[in-house]
Amino acid sequence: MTIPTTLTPTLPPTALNQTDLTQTAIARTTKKEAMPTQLALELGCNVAEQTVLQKCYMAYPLSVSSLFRRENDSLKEDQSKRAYLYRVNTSPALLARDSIGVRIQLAPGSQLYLADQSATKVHRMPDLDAQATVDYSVNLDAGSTLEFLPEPLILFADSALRQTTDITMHPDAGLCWGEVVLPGRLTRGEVYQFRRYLNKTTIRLPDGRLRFAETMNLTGKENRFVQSPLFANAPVLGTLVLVLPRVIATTAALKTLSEQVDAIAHESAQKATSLNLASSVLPDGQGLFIRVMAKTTREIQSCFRQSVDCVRSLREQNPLPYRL
Amino acid sequence: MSDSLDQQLVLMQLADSFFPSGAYTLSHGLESLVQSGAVKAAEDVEGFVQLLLCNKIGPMDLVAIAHTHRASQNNNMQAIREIDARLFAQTPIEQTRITQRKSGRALLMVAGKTWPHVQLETLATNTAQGEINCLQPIIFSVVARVAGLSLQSTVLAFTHGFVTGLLGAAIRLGAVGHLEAQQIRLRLAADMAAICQDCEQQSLDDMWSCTPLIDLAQMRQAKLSRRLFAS
Repeated sequence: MTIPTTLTPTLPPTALNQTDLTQTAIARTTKKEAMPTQLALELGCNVAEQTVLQKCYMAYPLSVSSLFRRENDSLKEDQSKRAYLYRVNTSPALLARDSIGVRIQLAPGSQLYLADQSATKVHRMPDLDAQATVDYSVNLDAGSTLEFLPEPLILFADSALRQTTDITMHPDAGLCWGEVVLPGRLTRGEVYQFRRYLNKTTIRLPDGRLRFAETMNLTGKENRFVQSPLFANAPVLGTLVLVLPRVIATTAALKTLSEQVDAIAHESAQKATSLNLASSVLPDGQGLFIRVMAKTTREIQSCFRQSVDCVRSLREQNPLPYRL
Repeated sequence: MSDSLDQQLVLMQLADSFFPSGAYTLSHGLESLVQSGAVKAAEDVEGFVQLLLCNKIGPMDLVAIAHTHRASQNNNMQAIREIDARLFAQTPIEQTRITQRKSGRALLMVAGKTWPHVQLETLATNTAQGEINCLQPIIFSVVARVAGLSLQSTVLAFTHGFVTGLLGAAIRLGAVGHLEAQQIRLRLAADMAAICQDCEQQSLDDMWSCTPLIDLAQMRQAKLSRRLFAS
């Protein structure tokens, strides 16, 4: 039986700036090929300096919730200005040859917390040449902040996914970008039966210079190290990148943040959870790279939320309005 | 003496632990894993080295080395600086970046006096002016090229030096004995050969790594209360 492919409109990209993709670390920009876009969000500030949606393009299968403001109990007036959005995916899963494009642009001073309504399942793809692709293109202007803590990706048996995340951000912008990957439907005993998950992430300055890059090439069925406890000692993998605005990214602030993340690990160890995490300073010295693994998604999500709260605390902002 | 023999002698000089490359100070997270009890026996050490070879050194460092060697051959110093910047940005673990910088600078100093060459002088100037990170794999590649090694011999020398350095660390950490280390080295030959062949075809954009648990160990290495190794 042939698995149907989701309908992905081949509409032209919206009026958002096209993100440049460079071949090397130094500014050598060429225009990235136009890719289908299912969700394009442009946010900016209104006269009251509240973050508002200025443009929103949605196409099947993606949409977003109406905008929330979850910090009514703010200690400081300006902290209720952040926008909260939920991304909604009406497709049951990513299917073979699906191509999803998401573009986010934050204007100066705007703040967005973006979350998912549910996990993204990557469905079985019996055709060995087929894969699904997801492309994120993010542009963060000076003083803007994006927090994106998506629900997990679940890689079904025989699935293949290629994901690229191109983030261009001003040195005075902030970012919390998380990812949680489940190597199968664990409760069914399906572990590392997918074909491949390739995830390329780059963070650049507006002039094209590379700040950080990571490419994870996670193979499933053909992964000869899956049984090795030195590959991973828990099935759920997580990565969180925290980038602080330049003005607060001091050595002391990074040390504090690192110690707070260590405290999360220490507390987890005392509670005998399966969480295993560590952090390191990013190459440009403006944030932390956090690697996590655990037996459950819930543990990693809780850790991510605590880490985001640590950043907010450093920035004298209110914590997230809810916890797992 | 034939060019071939000359090259083989350079290969042995660069790959030998006698060459002061700084590799003896690195355990690549092995010390952290030994202290935590995750690595106890010879098979653990073998698995650790194998994982690093196949999921990090081969698809990352060797790809950068191959591109650097070609750039050096073309006397393209700007390309070498770009590859160095790319590898630096794609190394998320701070301690790894620090040790690669230190080792690279030490190697450049030794090599500049052993094989004087205008490219090494340029790299030294670039380093002093903060125009290059001077990462050890990048410097090793240029040094090997100016010393007369082919690309294949360069990646082979780097891989051999990496494996023997790491097995030496395992011996000093008490995780394996000398005899076991030699047996592991022999069993790793197929993986070493495979990554040396594969790296030549890969583009810089294709550089990747995937060693989640070892990443954690490498991040923790810098925070160990007592340690023998820098990484």
